[in-house]
Amino acid sequence: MSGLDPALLGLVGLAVLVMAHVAAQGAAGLMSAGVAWSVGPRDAGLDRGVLAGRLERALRNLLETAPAFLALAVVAHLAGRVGPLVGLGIALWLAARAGYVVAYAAGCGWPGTALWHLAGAGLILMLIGVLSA
Amino acid sequence: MNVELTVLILAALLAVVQLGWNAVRANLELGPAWFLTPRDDAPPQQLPTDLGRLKRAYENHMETLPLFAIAVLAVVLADKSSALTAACAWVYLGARVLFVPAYRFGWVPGRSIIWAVGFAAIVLMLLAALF
Repeated sequence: MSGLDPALLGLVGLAVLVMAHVAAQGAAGLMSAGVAWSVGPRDAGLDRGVLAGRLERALRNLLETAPAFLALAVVAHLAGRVGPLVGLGIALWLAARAGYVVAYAAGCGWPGTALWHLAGAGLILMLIGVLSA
Repeated sequence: MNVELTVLILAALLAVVQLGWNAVRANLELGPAWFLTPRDDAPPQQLPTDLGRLKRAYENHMETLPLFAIAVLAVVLADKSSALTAACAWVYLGARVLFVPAYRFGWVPGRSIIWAVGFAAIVLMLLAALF
């Protein structure tokens, strides 16, 4: 792991998180819609069931917030601002986003919302860490 | 400039071309009137099959591009650039270019295989950055 500071590790963590989302969402779709639809051109907007729908929306939501995380982590690394605040923010964001997809898939309302806001707090910690210091 | 960064720019340009092409086609098919509204209502008609496929191909590209950007940034910033990571970058781009006709012409299971090749290239780059 040499050469990777917490910001770069966080970026790799984000990549792993997205891959887990894509794999889970793809597998759920595969199970409910079948192989033929999944490898086909998906012209019919098939209803893929509750779980596949939730994982699809969780992935969309992750991709919506990922650019902010990406930007802050890259700036923190390039500007040499990877301090405790940025490290804490990165850990908080990754952990909350990992919990969020589980909560979404399980259909929990409030815990999912709370985790989403916790991840937002992680971004704010990163922002403060990048701008101060 | 690193090969990986050059390919990252080309991958972004691929997204620009896909977006531009789809936008022009959709405007020709549906008429510009609906696009100029705040799009509160559903479009006046469904996209034709081929355009729906191109739209999904673009959306899929936008799903993998952030991962590729992460892999490139991690490799370049951590000074882990090598012949392997450069080759992976080109493989990713090649797969993403091929993915468009694969979706448009309904290659089965070619599209899924092409997608997996591009995805595997990203995973290899991430592993190369880590170790």
